[in-house]
Amino acid sequence: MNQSVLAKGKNIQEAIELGLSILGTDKEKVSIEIIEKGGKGFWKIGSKQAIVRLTKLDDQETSSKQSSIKQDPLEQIIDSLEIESFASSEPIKENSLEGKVWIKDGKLYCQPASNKYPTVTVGKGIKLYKNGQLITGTTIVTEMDEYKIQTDEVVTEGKWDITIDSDKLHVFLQIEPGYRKTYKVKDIEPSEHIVLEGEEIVETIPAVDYNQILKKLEELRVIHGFNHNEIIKAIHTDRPGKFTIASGMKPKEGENGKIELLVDLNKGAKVKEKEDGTVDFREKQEFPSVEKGQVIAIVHPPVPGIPGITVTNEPLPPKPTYPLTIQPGKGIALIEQGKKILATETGRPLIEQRGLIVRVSILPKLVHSHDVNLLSGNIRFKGDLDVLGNVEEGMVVEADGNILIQKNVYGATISSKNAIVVHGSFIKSTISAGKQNIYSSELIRLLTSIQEQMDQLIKSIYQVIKLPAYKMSDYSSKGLQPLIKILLEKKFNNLLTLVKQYIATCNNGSHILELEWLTISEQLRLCFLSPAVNEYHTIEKINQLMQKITELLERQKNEQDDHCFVKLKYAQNSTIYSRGDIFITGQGCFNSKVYAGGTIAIKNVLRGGEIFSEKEVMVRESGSESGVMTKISVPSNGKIIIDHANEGTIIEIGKMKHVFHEGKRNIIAKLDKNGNLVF
Amino acid sequence: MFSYSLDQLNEKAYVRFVGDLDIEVAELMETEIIPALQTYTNIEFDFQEVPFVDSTGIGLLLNLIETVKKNGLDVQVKIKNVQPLVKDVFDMLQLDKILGENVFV
Repeated sequence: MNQSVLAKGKNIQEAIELGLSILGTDKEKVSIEIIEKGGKGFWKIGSKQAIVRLTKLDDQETSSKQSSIKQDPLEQIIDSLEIESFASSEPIKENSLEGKVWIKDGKLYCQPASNKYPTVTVGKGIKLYKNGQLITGTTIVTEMDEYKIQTDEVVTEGKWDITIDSDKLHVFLQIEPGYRKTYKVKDIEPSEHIVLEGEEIVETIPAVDYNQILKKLEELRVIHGFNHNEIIKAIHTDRPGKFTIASGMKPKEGENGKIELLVDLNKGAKVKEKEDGTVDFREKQEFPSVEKGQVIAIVHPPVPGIPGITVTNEPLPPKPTYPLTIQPGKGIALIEQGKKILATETGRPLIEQRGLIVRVSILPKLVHSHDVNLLSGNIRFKGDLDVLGNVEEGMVVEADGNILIQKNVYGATISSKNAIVVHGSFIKSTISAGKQNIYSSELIRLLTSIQEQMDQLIKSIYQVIKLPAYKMSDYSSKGLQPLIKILLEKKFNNLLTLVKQYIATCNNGSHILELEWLTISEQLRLCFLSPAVNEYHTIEKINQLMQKITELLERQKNEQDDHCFVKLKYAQNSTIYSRGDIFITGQGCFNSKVYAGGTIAIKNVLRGGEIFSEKEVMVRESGSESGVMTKISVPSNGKIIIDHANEGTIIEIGKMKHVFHEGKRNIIAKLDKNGNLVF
Repeated sequence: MFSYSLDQLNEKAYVRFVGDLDIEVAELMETEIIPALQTYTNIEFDFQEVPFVDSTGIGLLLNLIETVKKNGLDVQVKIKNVQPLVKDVFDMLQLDKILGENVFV
């Protein structure tokens, strides 16, 4: 069969020459058939190419080096540039290799057949040069050309950075190693068509070496706390990371001086709940007390801290520690160079710590061994007070410290800034325990609302004054009085009500309230209720009043009433107020008004009256079979526990209310997540 | 200087205020305006010519309306043509709520 080839060229001449070079013969030995003459203008862009078919004439001189390509026009009329010949450096003799190409030891070999040329497709990572020219895509190989295979190489530079934290306690090496990606030429078995693809090889290149790190650390003056293991790890890491390559040491903080009490000062101050949630009423009520000569506390000196060290070898000092300053008050002596605190009098130790200053004193105790009546007169005492007898009608007993009354109280008023315990009955009397009292706690509530409203009112005044159509023509003669009057008419009508309530509460409690409450009451009256123009109708004064109210409320908030509580055996027709807890341990509580800042626990019966606790109420039996109205209230986060609620019991948690129309047992009432009363 | 005019149409009084409604108006209000309006059951105030007010003036107005309304439950009072800036003051003081929503027209 005759070999033939289709060749393209810019013109016929070129096409023939190309065809001849492919067949490796000369013009005389082929027949030439012109298939396409080519474009009109030889050099015009877009002109048609010339196509010729050369067919080798039968010739005995055919050399072994001659090659041929298949007579498939579609395959050959691709592009004249693709039609190339090749040179094989090593002719392969076996017939099976004929028309095939292969790769061995990184080199390209081929064995053209007389009637076909093998082809190569260049793949990833490989560059193939034919006669020094880069080949892309697919090409045919001939023996007459020189081939060179090169492999690609991609190098990504590594990155690194060293940082020190602000305390100079840690040095971090942020590292991202570099990569080198290379390709290896694989051997490929002989085939008519091969894809020349490289095998990918990825190597990690360290971003930094040990010496570079040490040099940088030196620049940063890091000389302490190297972590060599981490440095090595960082250098050899094959993924990005942050390594702590040096660490200092934090200072170990010391402790200020402190006082160690040898007396339990909280004795009897809180309701003690047993594990099952019930209250132990049998626990004996006692107040802490010390004897003359008793050591009540040990003063410990400050413990200095241990300095730390930075990575730059600078010392990090710990916070300085200071000793306590003990201010010995009445009945106190310091011994052994101030290391021990000794009581020189008998009484209740009082310890107040503010920062590093500790004030220690012994609160004296007065024991009144008779009844309090017209004969003894009212009793007012700065310390603790024990009354061994009764307190009779119309009498007043007051103490800054704790009050203990051994017998009964009838128609009297008992008040203490601390705790009150009455071992007998408490009938038609008023009790008030805590620095605040039943009036001041109500006043705080009112004043908090007044403060909010006044703040709004003052803002409104400023707003009105600024309005363009508003004239201040009456300010010099009447001040703010007409404006306040109009604002109170509707917009701040509520403020008017609150002020009136505040004034009324002050009037009712004027005998026990501190002066500052009453002063504010008068000033509020002048400002908001007085029809006559006065000094409180100026912007300055109304702001001052506001300031005073804010200060007073702030002070009240900071008052602590940790130790106050009320403990009674039996209460009837009385008013009982305690900032802390209230326990009624005997027969019960009848027709009384009870208010507690803490928990109220009634061991037996609660019948009639109203009780309110800011925390929790525990009652064994409430109301009565005859349906006496008995109201128990707690705020929305509070809880009410009643073992046996009779008809007439009303429980109120926050704004939710429930009236018991028939008896019910084992009630634990509170609000659920949705604000519904559940029990 | 403040002045007012009073026109009468059947049982209806039509009162026009001219000038600032302020503390200066107090005497006039007490001695003339309130007595003059005592007998009417339907009163309309025109504020077209009132550019400024002060709190005393507003107090006087409130008192005036309160007084005439005391004469009978069915006394009708309307205030009209209030200038926008004066209306701002009235709104801030919630006069519409004090006098009733339908007084301002």
